[in-house]
Amino acid sequence: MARRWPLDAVVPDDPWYYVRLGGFALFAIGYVLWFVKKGLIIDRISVGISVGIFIVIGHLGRPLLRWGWLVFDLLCYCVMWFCYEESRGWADRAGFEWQVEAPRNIDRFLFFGTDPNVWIQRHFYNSNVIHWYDKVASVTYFTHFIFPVIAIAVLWVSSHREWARFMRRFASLLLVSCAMFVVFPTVPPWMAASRYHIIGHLARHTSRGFSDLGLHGFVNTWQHALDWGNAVAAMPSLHSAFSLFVPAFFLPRIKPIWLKALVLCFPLMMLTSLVYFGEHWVIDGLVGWLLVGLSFWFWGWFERRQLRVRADRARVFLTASVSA
Amino acid sequence: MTRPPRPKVRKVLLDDSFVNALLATDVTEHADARALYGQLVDNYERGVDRLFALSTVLGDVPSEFRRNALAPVETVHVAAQHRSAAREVAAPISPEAALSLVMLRRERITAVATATHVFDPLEVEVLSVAPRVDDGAAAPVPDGYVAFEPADFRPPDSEAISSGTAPMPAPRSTDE
Repeated sequence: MARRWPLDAVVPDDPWYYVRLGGFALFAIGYVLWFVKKGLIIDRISVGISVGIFIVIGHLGRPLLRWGWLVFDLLCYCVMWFCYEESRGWADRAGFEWQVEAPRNIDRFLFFGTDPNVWIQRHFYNSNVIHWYDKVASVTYFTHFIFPVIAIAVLWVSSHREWARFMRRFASLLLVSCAMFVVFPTVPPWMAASRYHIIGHLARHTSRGFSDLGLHGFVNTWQHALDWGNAVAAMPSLHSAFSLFVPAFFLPRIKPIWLKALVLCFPLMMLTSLVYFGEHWVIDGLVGWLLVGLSFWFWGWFERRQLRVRADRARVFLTASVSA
Repeated sequence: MTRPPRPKVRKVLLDDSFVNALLATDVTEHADARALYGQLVDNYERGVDRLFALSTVLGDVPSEFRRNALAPVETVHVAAQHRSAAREVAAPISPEAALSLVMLRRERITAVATATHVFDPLEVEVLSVAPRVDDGAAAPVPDGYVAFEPADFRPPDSEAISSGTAPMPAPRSTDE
């Protein structure tokens, strides 16, 4: 059989490909150095700048049309986060009644009369000792600020179609969550304990494990970020939702069953950490997962329908062509 | 019961000759092109294939065909840099075919549906509706390939050319 020639033997290389590769390498080095020296980037502006640099590197040497798409995508992306941030203000102005006892009652129903936050802290938390699981839980908690952003940035650069599929689901999740923050402003467990005293004492020790790992700069940034956060946005838990969202999106690409199972342990770890830190009720996490499931189901159905509609249009032509 | 593993999605470029054969009822490859396209559309609906065509090709297609007959086909946008790269393609083939080669590589498309044998000597999956070559007959490879072949290059034999290797569409009833 005659030898076939690979495409790269015939088609010239894209010189910008190597420029982009070099740019990504420099970006990775810079990101790691920043992380070690100053901490993790979590505030929206810094995250936006770092993602922006990454995406610009990914678009170096691309045709103008791709840059045009990028500008449009960026506008949509900014509008999405703007709505998310503004929902905090809308929640204050809308004046819906704060949910204080309802989530506690649901959790008690689910756990046969026990408050899971109080139980888990009573059995595992020690204010004088930072256990290994405190560090694991803390790191798990803070992955919320990195994983979705990395996924969005990588998809943005590698496949616009996959990015659009990801963002449809992500934006839907965020939209519904924001609506719930406004309509069901829910008091988190730590506030229910410290201000309303409807459950036993809870320590809010989220950053302790991370701080013990030597990442002080980041912890300070995070505390500052919390100053302007919406404290009564417990329902649904976006931490819990994102921890399922990212693995669920990439799950079809993972082949080994054991690895799929391992990846799906991550949302469980996240929810356990959230409950342990007193940041969320269990029901917040479950509702977050439910919204992820609904978002994936809806967009999966919609995309399959699109395929069917387009295929049917083509078949009508094929049939008509034969008839003619 | 275990679910069968999901096949990897194949990206198929419909080149200008294939689109022409599909839409022009008076060309000899029309029936085969229509049958092959029917299979590709079925695969598209099952999420197995993604179909592409160059913007330069789709730009010449009447909008009615684009919206209906070619509804499953995604546009691969051709820019000046791609045309420039096409001029440097190391094969004396038509500018359109060279552009297809460039976009195959840049967009990582692994299969091409065509009504020619231009792509036969290349490592891409060729779904050709060009006339079959009988065993022992000379392969209808474009003459130009001889010019760019390296020392050990031989024109592909009949096993290697597309009509012999690509899955041909099953015959269809004309009643459908």
